[in-house]
Amino acid sequence: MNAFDGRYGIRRDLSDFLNTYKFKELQFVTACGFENRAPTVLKHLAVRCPQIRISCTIIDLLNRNDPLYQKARRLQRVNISKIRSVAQKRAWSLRWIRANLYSKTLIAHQPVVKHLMETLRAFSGDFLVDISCMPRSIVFPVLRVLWKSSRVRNLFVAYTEDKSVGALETQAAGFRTPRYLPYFRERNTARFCVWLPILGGDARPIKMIKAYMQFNDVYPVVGFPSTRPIETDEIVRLNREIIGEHTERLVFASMNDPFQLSMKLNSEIDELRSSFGKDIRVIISPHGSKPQSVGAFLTAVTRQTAVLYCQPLSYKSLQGSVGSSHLYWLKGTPYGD
Amino acid sequence: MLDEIIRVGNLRPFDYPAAYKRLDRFLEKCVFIGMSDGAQMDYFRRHGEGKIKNDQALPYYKADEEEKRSHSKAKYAFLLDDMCGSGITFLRAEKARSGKVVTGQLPRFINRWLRFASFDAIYCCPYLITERGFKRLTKLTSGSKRIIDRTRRFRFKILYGMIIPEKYSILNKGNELFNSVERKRVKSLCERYYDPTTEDAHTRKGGGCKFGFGKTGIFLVRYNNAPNNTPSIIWHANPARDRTALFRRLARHHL
Repeated sequence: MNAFDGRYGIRRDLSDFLNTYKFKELQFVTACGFENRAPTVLKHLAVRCPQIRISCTIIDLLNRNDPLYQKARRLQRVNISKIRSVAQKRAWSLRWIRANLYSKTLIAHQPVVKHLMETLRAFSGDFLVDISCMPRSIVFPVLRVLWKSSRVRNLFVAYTEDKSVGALETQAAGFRTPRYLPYFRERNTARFCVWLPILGGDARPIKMIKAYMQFNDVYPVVGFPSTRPIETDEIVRLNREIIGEHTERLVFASMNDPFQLSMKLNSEIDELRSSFGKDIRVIISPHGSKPQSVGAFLTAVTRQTAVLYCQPLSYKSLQGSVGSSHLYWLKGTPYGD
Repeated sequence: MLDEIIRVGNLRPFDYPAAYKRLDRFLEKCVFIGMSDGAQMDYFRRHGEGKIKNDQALPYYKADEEEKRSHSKAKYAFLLDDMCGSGITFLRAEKARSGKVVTGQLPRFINRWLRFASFDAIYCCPYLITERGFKRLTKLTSGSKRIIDRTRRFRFKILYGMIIPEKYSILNKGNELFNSVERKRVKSLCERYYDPTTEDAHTRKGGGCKFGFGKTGIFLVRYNNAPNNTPSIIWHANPARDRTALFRRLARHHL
């Protein structure tokens, strides 16, 4: 399998990429909630690639069990109609998958993964996953399935920034207790355990994980550089407690380039394993930006680490605003034939 | 760099495997040059170990003739620096008796180096750049209003580590960091505590430092220094007037 291996990674502005790359056929996976940016990548595809055949899988993120369902549903309807209208105009197939995000366990990925498995039996080719509105509890399993499958020729990830908040997401209304993400559970029984928490705009999940588990060593990851430099200051301010306890072990890694972040984490992990032994347990907690989560995914699959995460209980229905869209090429032809 | 190899080698778009195979050969044609001590060439060398040879990384662009001659076969020059604020230090047009003169680090580099090496491309690589400086330099180095290399002997491109948005400037009405009242208060603080002894002949070329050299207006302090693009109330100390600075600046170069 040819994929990003830490030597170089391909990251582009989405429009530029779509102007150059010629898809033959595409499987597009995205999530639809209340955020304004939900239909953005699909719209880009409609403008730049009107001729190609696209099969769209849309994950419906809302659920009646969500206490904030009514307001979120009202906002989501607008996105649903935009997505339907784009797909209808291009005669693209549309498949809706309902994710049960509010079932108190991390099963949100199951309906999506099941659908992807079915798709992979019938289709081999290019996949584009838009993670802009997708919770990490779905992003990680979806990417893992597509990364491992030999039927995926090229695996692309698209991400649209929220101009109003940058990369610092603060919409979560409470968090569940920490859980290992599906496919990234801890299998290692070694006693020595290192934690790499990727810090973000909300310190609550990091505090919860810290209280939940004992670690021998902690290396907090602070996002730098970033598109909005003030975000690094904010991260330091908001997470001053954990940073204050581990100032000598801070890791600075890119906030908007998943490949740079992954290279940095990989070299840290390699160094730790060469010092403390290959068997040490390494746990990553991706609570930083979405691009950082893609980088954390790359490290988790290439360095076999566990991923411990606090799933938000619900989200405040902030629509946000639409910023620029980016593309990350995770696997496929640019990494060798 | 891989994109450059694809372009120069006329490879198919996205043929990164082929470009990567050519990377070592491409790097042999490159020279990496510090434009000030902020470029931290020792750090750069250490991290380029195995790919970039020691003698390909020069600590300073004002090198002697022998040094420059030894790089006569280089085709790509990477000019490294820690910070580009207004871009005035790097490139500007100045009035002189004979008319307008183009000066700054880039013209000085060209004058000193292009007699010894013929570069296909020159890359300006600041670790940090302001959006305003980026736009200004882009305008002055490409397009119809370019003031440098009008005969287009080489390509010029800015490759930065991080860009500081224009909306971080206190002179920008759409400032993202302060609301309009706060922004005006910060501005008035800059005016109220401005000390004209901050200025010398060099800083005056950039319109003074009340709001930062080149009227950049961004409050930025790095671990190793405060750039003069930061308003002077942050970094200017005047012991004669019993004024200390929060982050005292060490002036290390002139225009």
